[in-house]
Amino acid sequence: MNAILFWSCAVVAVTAALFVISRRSPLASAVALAVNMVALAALFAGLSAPFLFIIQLLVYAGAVVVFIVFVIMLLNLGEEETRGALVSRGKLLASALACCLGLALLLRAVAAGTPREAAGALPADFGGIESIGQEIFTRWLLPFEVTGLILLVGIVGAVVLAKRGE
Amino acid sequence: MAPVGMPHLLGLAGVLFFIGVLGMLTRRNALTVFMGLELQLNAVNLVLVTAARHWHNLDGQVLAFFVIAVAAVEVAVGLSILIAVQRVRDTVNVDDLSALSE
Repeated sequence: MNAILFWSCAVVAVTAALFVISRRSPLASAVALAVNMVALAALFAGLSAPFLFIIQLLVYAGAVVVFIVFVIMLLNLGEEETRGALVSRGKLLASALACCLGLALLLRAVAAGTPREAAGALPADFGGIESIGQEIFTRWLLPFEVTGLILLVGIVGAVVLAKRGE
Repeated sequence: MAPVGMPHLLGLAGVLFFIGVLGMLTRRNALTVFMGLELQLNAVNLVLVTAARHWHNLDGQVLAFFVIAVAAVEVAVGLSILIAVQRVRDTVNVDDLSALSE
């Protein structure tokens, strides 16, 4: 993978992620989340996944972020966390320690060596719409149909939950 | 610059994942907790796509596609629950929503 693409995307993604969890205003967090999603989409493009690149932009950076912003506006949460400390110091210290430990373990495992890359050239159209469609509609047909069912249940559930009761 | 391989990408995914965990554990606004969750899902997707590229096998990309689809449903249902909670309790501060733990 192109080193310049990787490092620029990595810096943008990590910075945006830190912004997401450190901003007081949920709206600023949502915008940073969109930036993070776009950086990850660029990484997908660099990893020979053009289909996922489009889907990430459409579904995540598009629909999901718009939905979150919509709910922030609807709930009028702009002023929610403007008073008091953002997080208590003890909670932050304990959580940060736990996360650093987990990350150290993970990085240790990664540094111990990763499996060798598959030999040979990448197949033509790897990650393109045609090859992904071929996979989804043959070997992954049942999970695909179940996903459709989950989407239906999700839509009905969301309407029922958000409907104003009597 | 040194060539970028699987360890770099897995390391980046790990960093993003634990930033998401940190956000989930420390923030009190339920919406920000949600965004931490999205960060974690994205980090896992990055691992799946990296593995797909590494082994020249499309299964990882198909799985990432399913993760994105299910995450979209999860956001829709989760945010609807938040709207309902806000309506009843007039807050989405997770520290105030502790009825089940008392």
